[in-house]
This record gives sequence, C-alpha cells and structure tokens, in this order.
Amino acid sequence: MFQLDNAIENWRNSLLDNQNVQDTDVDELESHLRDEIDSLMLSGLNEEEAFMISSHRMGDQQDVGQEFAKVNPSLAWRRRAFWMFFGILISMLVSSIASICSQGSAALLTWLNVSVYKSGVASILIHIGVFVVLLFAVVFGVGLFAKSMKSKLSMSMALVFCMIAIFMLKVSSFAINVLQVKILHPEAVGQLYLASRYSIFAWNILWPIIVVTMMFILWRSKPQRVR
Amino acid sequence: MALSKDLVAASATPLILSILTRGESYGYAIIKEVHALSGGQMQWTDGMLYPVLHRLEKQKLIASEARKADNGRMRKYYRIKDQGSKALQEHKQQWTAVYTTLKQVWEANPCFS
Repeated sequence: MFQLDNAIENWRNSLLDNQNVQDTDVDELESHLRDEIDSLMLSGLNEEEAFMISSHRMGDQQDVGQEFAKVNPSLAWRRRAFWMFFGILISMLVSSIASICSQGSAALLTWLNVSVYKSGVASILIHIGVFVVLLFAVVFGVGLFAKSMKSKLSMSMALVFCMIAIFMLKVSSFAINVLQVKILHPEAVGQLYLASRYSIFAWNILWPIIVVTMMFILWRSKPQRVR
Repeated sequence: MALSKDLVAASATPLILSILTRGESYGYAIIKEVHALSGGQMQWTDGMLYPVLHRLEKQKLIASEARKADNGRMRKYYRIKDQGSKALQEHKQQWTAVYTTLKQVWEANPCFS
C-alpha cells in the first residue's frame, strides 16, 4: 500500500544525503512537491501516480544538489569541519568519562584498604573497559543521530551539550582529587599518586593501539546506510 | 520545439526578475507562470529553479520571507529589490540588443527566414 507521507519522507532523506543541501532548502522543495501533487490529484491521478510524476519533474536529486552546491560552495566543508570538531569533543568527553571512572575506582579501592598496586591495575582495566564500550556506543549512536543532526539548531545543541558535559566532568575530576587528598591517609595518597602515574603511563601507550584496533574492526564491518 | 539548455539557463534570471516585478511570488507559482507565458515551450526542471532563486537572493537582487500559505503549508515568498530592478534593466538592454541584431540580419537576408 502506497503511503504518501512515507514516500515524501524518503524523498526528503535522499535529498538530504547530499551534503550541499540544507534542511530549509528541502522544506521549500517539499512544499513545491506537495503543491504539485495536490494539483495532479485534482486532475484525477491517485496519490502514487501524482507522487511519481511530481518527484520526476523535480529533477534528478544529484543534479539539483550540484546546483545548490554552486550557490553555497562552503556548506559541505562547513559540515565536514563540524563533524571534525564534534569528533574531537566526543573523544574528549569519552576519555574524561573513562578517566574519571578509573580515578574514582582507584580512590575508592584504596579507601577500602585494597593494596595500592591491585587498585592501580583495577583502575587501568576500568579505564580501558569504559573507553572501549563508550567508543563503540558513540560510533553506533552517532549513526542513529546523524539523520537528525542536519539542522543548525540540533548541531549547535549537540556541541553545547558536549561542552557542558566535559566541563562538569572536569569539575568532578577536580573534586575527586581534592577529596582523596583530604580523606585518605597521607601515605596512601602518595602511593595512589605513584600508582596513577603508572596507570597514566600505561594508558598513554595503550590508547592509540586501542583506537587503531577499533578502526580496523569498524573498517571491516559492513557499512550500514543510515535511513 | 524545446529551448536549448544554455538558453534556458541564460534567460532564467531575467525571467524570474520580470515575474517578480509583477508582485511577490513563490517557486511553484513562478514555474507555472513561466510554463503558461511560454505556451509550454520553456520546460524547467522544477528543482533547478530553487538554486537560481537562492543565488539571486545571495546577490541581494531579491528578498525572501517564509510564511504560512492559505493551505496551511509553509511557503517561501520572494520579492524583487531595487538592486534587482536595476539588474533587470541591464538584462533587458542586453536581450534587446541580441534580438534587434538577429532581426536585422534575418530581415536583410530573406532567404534565411
């Protein structure tokens, strides 16, 4: 059964796949498409026929996208720059969450009188685990959100959200640092500091390896078209 | 007879500016008007009109405003600006020059017609 709204939604999305077309452009074209469909249906066509003819009259979506690109040549590059900065922010966010988890767990374990080296090992494992899980979540999550990330509003909302989240994580990381110095025995603080140096050293060596490994895994997996 | 692509592209700007001189309009209505005025000889691919409109807007020859139409749909209405009227005068002179030149040649050599 032909659903006009679904057909128009698909038509919109494939037009939006073109990086040179903005959602306001597509709104304008959709309004035109619907006017044409209405007028064709008045002359006796059914919904499906009217949609087929009017979307054909709109022209090839690639060609139309190329014409829009001539009007707004910097749009595609601005989009790419957005995704680059968004990637930097997301990676900052993910690594802050991972480091705060490992920091907090190390402080907690030391406070529970677990030996400093055991809690150091535990903290680096937690660091890696949280990092990998979050990175996978981001890769698949962004795929789901990418479609709704095409308007200026949702793009800037995403950026602001990331900035606020990173700020709050930095503040709480600072709070954990102060708390552990105040609560723990001075000797334990020193040991914890030493363990955290080892852990940060290990992390600095490991994370490029983790990221490259993940890139290989994702590269080999079949790309899914976002609809 | 269908007009060549180059001619359609070259005439798009003066045609749009002329139609907007009659009063504000929107994409769909402009297409219908071009179709009617040319007696169906000028067939634009509907989607191609909008990049042209946006370019004219960027050149500040026309201005746009999004409003709700009578049918409840959002529509972008375009109107011509002073700069656009000036540009249209230039277009008119150029097209008239081309037309008069061609006409003179054709009338001077009846065998061409």
